[in-house]
Amino acid sequence: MQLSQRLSDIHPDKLLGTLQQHADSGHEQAALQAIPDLQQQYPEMAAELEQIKGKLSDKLLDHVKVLNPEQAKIFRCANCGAGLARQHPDTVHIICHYCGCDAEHPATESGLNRWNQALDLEARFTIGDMLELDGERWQAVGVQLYSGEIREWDGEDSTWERSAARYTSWWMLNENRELRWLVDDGSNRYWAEKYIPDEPKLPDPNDRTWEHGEWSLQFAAGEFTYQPAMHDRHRSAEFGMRQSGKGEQAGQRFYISVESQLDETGKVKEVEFIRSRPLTDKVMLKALARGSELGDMRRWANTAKAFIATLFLLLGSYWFFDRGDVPQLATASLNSASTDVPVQQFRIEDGGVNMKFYSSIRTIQRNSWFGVEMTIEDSDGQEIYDKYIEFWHETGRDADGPWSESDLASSWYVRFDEPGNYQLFASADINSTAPSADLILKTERGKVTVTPFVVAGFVSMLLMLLSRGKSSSLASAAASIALKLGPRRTEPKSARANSIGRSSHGIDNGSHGQ
Amino acid sequence: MKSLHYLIVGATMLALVGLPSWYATKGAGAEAVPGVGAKVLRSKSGRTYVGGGPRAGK
Repeated sequence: MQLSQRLSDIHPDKLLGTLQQHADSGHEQAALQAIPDLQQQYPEMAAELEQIKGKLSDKLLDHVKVLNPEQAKIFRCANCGAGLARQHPDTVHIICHYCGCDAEHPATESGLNRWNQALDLEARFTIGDMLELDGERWQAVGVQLYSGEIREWDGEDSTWERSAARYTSWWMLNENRELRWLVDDGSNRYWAEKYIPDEPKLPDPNDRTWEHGEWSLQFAAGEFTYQPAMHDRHRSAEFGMRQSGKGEQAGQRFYISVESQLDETGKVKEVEFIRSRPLTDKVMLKALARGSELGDMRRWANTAKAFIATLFLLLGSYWFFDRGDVPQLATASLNSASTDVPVQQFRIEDGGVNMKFYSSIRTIQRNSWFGVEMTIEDSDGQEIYDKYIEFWHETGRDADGPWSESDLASSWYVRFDEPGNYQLFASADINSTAPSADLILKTERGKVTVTPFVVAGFVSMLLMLLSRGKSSSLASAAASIALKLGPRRTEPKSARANSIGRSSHGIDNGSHGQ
Repeated sequence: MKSLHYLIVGATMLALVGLPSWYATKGAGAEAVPGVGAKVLRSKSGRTYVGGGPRAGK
């Protein structure tokens, strides 16, 4: 948020002191940027503000960040006196990022407009900041914000899909005074350079393989090789492809974009061919030397990896604990009058043995049920365990037609707490409607229930996804270089107060001629 | 908090792997033999049931 906005509602008696405090606490650039707005809002303090401006300007002039002092021309803005640099030999126009005016022409000169928004000089990336990419240092010398509409072909609906979009384009200069563009479309970052194709041609606006855009310039600050004007328009056509051939860059995705600058009548006046490659958040954080954020991103990425490892550990643990022994199989033919039919004997050497029981019957009559009570007796003939299982089959008819359901098998886990000899008996439920059933009982020692491993697996998966999301959102926020702007308040305080009294839309954020 | 991050992650991993393993090896989810009320099983008050469909008139 711009300092001028924060100061705009402060009591006039405290204004100068607060401004000085900001300047003294290291926000000289923001303080200097705020002064032209404040001078217009508080004309009665214009002289005092001018004094502060002079001091700050002198101080900042010595600290204008440039790539190479020998190649840069450092000068004062003709309007606000702020220290600025001209670093590119082809620069023809400089917009002061403090006051938004043409930095080389006096504000009184007719026909020069002040940009109605102000660059946030307290943002983490702004004009003058450095970036190191592929071993080369680049400095942001200019910035533009475009808004517009993207049009791409939707194959499923067979129609052009349109969506509103905006992007920030930073003009980057290296020590060889070459220009590149660092672009942020709100979610991704791209490194772009102009090129001349072997066979230049404009893509057909109806070509469905390209993504088409219509753009209008909303803001500009810094130095440019042409004179940007508010609402400059251009069209773009872009498509993505992968680098062919061999080598380090083979397979990397890149984009070809054809940009057509339009004149006031909408005719194409200039065409530029641009090739860009996406920059990952990690690359951006390294390039911007944001070590702390890179550390945070890595920490959460490692956390996600740790929870993936947990999934494998859980799988391994389950496999280890569920290895089991050789299954024991027993069968018993039962009829509805059967009682205490011996089925299987167990010898338990140590207490705490887990055993999986799996019981089933081969067949059952249609629409009948057969109940089986299983009991386990210890070596003294004492019944110490009892379980009732019902196998059933049923049919019916509903709105979907006839249906049939059955349950002919069941499994459960038993833990023998004491060593000894045990015998399992089966008895039929005398009320069963099925006359007989062949019971099959399979037992296996050393088996464990899978449920806790599944629950832990879901928790691990959830934590992994949350960690990955956290890493991604942290990196994306830290890598963002999207322009931060705020409206300029250029109306005098007294007029604004009256205006607010008359209407809720009393604040004028519009462009004002100088 | 950052310095504790990996410690917390490690403890969480240990809990996620350790608890199911402990639960499984202890047989905490299994039915115990001898069961509770083993001496009165024939009274049917300690019976457990598996199965049973939505059949009417069961």
